Amino acid sequence: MRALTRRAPSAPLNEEALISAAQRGDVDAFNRLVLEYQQLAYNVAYRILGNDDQAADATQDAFMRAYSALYQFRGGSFKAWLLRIVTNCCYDLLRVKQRRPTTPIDDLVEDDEHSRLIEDPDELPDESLERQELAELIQEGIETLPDDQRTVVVLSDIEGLSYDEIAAVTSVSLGTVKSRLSRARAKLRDYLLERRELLPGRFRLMDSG
Amino acid sequence: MLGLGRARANRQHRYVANNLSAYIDGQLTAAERARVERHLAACADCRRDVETLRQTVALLRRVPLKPVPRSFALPASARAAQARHRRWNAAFGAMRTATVTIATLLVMVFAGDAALTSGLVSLPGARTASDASALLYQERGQTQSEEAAPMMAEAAPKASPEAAPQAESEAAPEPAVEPYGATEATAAPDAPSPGETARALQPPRETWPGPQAQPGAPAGGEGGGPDMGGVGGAGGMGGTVPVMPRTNGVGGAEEGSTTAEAEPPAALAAEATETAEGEAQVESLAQAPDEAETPAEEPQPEAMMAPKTVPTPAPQPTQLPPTEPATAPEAEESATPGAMVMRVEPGDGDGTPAPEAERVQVPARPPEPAWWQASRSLRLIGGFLAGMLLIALAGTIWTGYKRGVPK
Repeated sequence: MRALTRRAPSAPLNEEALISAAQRGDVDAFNRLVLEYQQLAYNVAYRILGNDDQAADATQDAFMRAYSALYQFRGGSFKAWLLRIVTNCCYDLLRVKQRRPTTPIDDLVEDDEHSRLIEDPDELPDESLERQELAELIQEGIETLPDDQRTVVVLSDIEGLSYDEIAAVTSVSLGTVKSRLSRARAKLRDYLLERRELLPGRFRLMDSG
Repeated sequence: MLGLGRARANRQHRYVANNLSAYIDGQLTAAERARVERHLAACADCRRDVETLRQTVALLRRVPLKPVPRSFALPASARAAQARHRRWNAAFGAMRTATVTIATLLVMVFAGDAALTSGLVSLPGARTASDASALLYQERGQTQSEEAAPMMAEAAPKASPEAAPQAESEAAPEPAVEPYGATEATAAPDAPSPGETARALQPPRETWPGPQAQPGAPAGGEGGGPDMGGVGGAGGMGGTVPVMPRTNGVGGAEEGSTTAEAEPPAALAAEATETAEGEAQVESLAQAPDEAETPAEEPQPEAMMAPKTVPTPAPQPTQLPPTEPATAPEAEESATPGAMVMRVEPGDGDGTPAPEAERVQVPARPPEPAWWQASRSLRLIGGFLAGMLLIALAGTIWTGYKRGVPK
């Protein structure tokens, strides 16, 4: 997948130089950082929000905010700093969503099904299709979690951040990260166990103990 | 025994259940891991749990990455937005600092005032339990009338204690000085309105002077009319607080009216009206000196009055009502000019003032101690700071909003 290849940049960025240039107002320098991190930012936003358009909005808003406030960045992990802005943008959108809910869930599911049928060409291997189904089920499960647990499990198990990085992004202690992750995983496990029959055999949880 | 064992097993079970997630990630210490593994060896449920949890995490890691729908690169125009944000953020920082600073000062002023009124800090002047409330009550009434008066000369505040004793005696002679007052008086803008306002504001009191003065006021011809009114009002107030009348009188005089008589509360005013028939100004002259010369250490009513009048009438917060006794000598000097100013105006009756002044002193309320004067100035400063705090707070909120959402 294109996305996957782009995620690992061929040439290592001199991140600090780009950041300090962007802090002086260099938009081009900042846009190189954007290209580097937009995949991650967008995916985090999508997993938290569960909606393409909103995820794009949140991502764009986050980069704009990050650029505007870049002079406040005092070193440390730029990735964690950026993801904190992304998650905050997502929370803002979620709050708006709670105030005036938009599309009912049924419609969303229908849409997904429809688009998948259209988009899935014959050449798509079975595995991809199955992974797609798995991803949708997991996404639904993730959306049942409370915001804080959802963020932690997305950052940890989908985006692969370390506990320390997650603590930096969410501004909580390591112990809090651990306990949130533990609860989130347990809930997701139960969610998937209840829907075992929806998944292809090799993705089914085996709880015969 | 069996129960105890089960309880312990439950505890182990809970511990392991809470730590399975970290166990999978290899985030447990050696001791913690050993404890979990000991339990897993004995508990089939937990073994199953750890297995399904591992599978869940494995599934989560297989969730495919979503390709970005578009590039999120920023347009070149973003540069201006960054500069704007930086400016607003700087303004926000300044406003926030100002807010904190002012709030701190306000707290200090409050604390200082509390210390003064509670007696923690002692300044010259007797203090009784009910002093503060009584003084405050008096002051409320005064302030209203004082507000009516445009402003007193700064000299008035200076007239600190020491001068007081002399002031009384001098008061009588002062009438002679009137000439100065006259000159000054001319300079002063006449304001009949102040006198009127003072009247209106003045709370009704049983003071004898009050009623007299008011009737007198109308009688007083020319500018005296309005002024007198002011004086009368002052007198009314003065019944309780001699200071009041003076202030009013002064204010009136400055404004160009005859009111000077204010010194002696209502009584004086009344007399003045009678004698001068609206030209009570002379009296005012006499009064003025008294005020200015307020006693330094003596808790004479006049002394109290002088400081009070000064702060209230003066629009400027800078004026320090709690002038130190040290200034006394100067105060006297300055007081005279100030007094003259007040007296001036039409200045007809010269003789009247002296007797009136004396009378005034007699009915005078208890003297204002230094701590009370200091407290009043602190409250003035506090009010000013409170206003500034509101402004700074509004500025902080506004700039915070304009700079946009913080990260």
